[in-house]
Amino acid sequence: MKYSREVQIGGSLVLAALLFYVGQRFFRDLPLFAGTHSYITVAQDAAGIIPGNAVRINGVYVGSVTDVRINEGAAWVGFTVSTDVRLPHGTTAILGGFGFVGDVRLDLILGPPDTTYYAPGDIIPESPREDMLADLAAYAPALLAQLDSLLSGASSTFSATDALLSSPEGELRQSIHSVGATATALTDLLNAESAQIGATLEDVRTLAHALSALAADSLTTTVEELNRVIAQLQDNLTGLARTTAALNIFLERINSGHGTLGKLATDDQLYNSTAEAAAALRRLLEDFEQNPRKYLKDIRLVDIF
Amino acid sequence: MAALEQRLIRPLYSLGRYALLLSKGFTSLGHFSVYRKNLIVQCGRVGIDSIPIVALAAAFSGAVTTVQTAYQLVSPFIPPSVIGAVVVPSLILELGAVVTGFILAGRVGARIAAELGTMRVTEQIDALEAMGLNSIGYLIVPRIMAGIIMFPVLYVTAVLVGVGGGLAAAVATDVVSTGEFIRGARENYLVFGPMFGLIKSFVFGFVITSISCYMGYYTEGGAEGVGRSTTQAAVISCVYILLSDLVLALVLL
Amino acid sequence: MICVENISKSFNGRAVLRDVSLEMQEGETLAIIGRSGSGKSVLMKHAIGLLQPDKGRVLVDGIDIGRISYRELRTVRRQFGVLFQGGALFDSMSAFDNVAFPIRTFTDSTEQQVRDRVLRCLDLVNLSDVGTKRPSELSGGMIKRVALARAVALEPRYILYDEPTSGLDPHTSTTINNLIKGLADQLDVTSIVVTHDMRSVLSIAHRVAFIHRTRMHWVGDIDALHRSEDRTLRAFVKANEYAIGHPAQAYS
Repeated sequence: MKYSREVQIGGSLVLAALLFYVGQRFFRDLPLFAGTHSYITVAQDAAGIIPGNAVRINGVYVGSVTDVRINEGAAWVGFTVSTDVRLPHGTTAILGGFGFVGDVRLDLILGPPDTTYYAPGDIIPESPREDMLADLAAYAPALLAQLDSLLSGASSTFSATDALLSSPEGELRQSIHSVGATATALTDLLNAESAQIGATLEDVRTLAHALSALAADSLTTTVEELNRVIAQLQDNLTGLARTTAALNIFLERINSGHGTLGKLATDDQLYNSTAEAAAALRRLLEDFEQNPRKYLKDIRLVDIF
Repeated sequence: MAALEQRLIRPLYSLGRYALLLSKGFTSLGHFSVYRKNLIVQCGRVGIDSIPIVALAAAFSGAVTTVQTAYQLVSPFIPPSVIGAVVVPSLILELGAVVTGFILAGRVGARIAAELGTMRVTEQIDALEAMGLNSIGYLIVPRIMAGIIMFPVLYVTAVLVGVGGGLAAAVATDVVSTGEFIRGARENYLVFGPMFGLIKSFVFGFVITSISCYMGYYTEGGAEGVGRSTTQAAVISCVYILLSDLVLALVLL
Repeated sequence: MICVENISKSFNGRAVLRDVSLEMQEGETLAIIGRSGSGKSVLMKHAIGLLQPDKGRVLVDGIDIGRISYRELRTVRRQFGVLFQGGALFDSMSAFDNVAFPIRTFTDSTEQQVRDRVLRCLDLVNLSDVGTKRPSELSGGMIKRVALARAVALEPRYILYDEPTSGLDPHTSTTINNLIKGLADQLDVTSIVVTHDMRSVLSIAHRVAFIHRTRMHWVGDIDALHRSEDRTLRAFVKANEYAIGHPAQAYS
């Protein structure tokens, strides 16, 4: 046959390519003809992982590490997972093992069964480290205690102010003038603070919501969000403490009998606006009185870490 | 003075002439149709005809590596799967390509040098040139291409047969089971290994054929010269295989 | 016209040609004679650029072939047919394929056209039944004839013969000489014959160039050769006649 030599050569080339492919997959312990998807995880410590190390889920080999490099100060680890394994959102990666016996590997902790999955090429977050959670767990109760005491302190101050303002017939009327110029400032202050207190409560709600979504969402994302919320809460609490302090000073001045409430009593507009501010404050406080435990209980979910 | 000149100038002269030979061959290629037939013939000679001897050598080096690894690692602390973990990567990284390279240096390198040397001393190369053909392109390019194309085929053959031979030896001498052997190979498997071996095989294919072509093409001095070229082609190819092996390992690993 | 101007060439410090000049006229048959190792073949190889002169230049139809690209040089070479000393047939191919090789390589002929042309060329050298044989199966005279058929396959303007009759018996030598003569007449080519065989020279050449001790010693036509009083030339011619043994036949 005229082309037998060509056929031999072409055949040997194709066969060699095929055997190369199959042999490689065989030794990598990959399914021979299924494809793979690539993902990336970013870690602070790659634990000495190198291309070729195994990727496992629940101890089952599902793929291998293909690429490890330093990018923006972190280790970027590229790996493949066979296409029949899908990674739901919430999946995290742990790098580790014993380097000495060449058993460094990448373990994937699958997220809860979900309708959405990571797409090939996505970054799979690193599993949060245990020490990070411990920090959070130690930190949360102190923060909550601080919140608690501040709220109860604010509550009693507001109650006193409320009582004072809602009994205009007493001795108070005489001294109402002494409030003088500070009354307007007080109104503004109360209005501003009511918004801020509202924001504080909103933060608590967000936090509670975030925590309730914990099971469904990625753990790391939650932890980050929690940290952010706590930081914001702390800002708000500082604001609250300042307001409480200002109110305390105001009450002290009235109680020490400076007699300036008279002006407040004769000036209807001033009185009304003060009363309005106090009412707004009271509504907030009532909300607090009725619900704080619920909010605080939600916040205490943090303790589970 | 003359000796110094011989030592310093001669290698440079040879290197320059080698580089010129290659550049002349690859830059003034005519129509592919002129070389196609030659390429097929050379691919057959370099590749297909070498498969049996390469397979034989690979089977034995696989078997010997297995037996010797087993002999060296007799210890209750070392699992027998280590044998697979040593033998398979050795074949993929080093033995598959280098054993094949040595065999081809002897088989193909000597043959090419003898062919071209004879063509040179019987003026067949002059005859090609006198016809207005690029003798380098016509004679050398197909041989080098054949080396580059077919060596990877031989490499894959060598590795597969070598692993087979190693496994057979392991099972026959009852030091490790098939499953253990393969598990060891898989656990210590390097993804880049086969790629590295493949790169080596391209380089070796080029080194062997180009050096042998150079030796043959510039043969001087009749039948004796052909004999000299043939020996040198085989020896120098082997030396440069080892050198390029080291250079590749330093650069790529 | 091929013009060799003042070329010098040495190999490994040993001079082979010194300041040699020669003109080859269109249509003539020029014989270059001289002792073995006098540089005749080297001179011939310069004519087609197989060797580059250390000094001087070679003009083919006015083109200095030392100053053109390799690609252009190859084009120039296609006007030449060369019969090498040992025939230089490609021993990987049959006789037929050897003759067909230049035709297949340089023309777009169909296989039928190639076949016709090869048979015509083999016919020119009085061979017709050697087609499938390998060079190793052919006799020396047959190899030269097949090589000659290959040299003329592309109808060259110049044919160079390097020792066409060396190593052949007198009878075969005569056949080759007749062929050279016949081709020069039939194809109207310029022939350059490098030889030390005076019988061959006297039967085919129009002009003779005598190289002695690396220099161009004497150039002239056949009549001038007979009349020449140059002692070196006479000694060379005479020595050759004795070697042949039958000087009288050579002149007949």
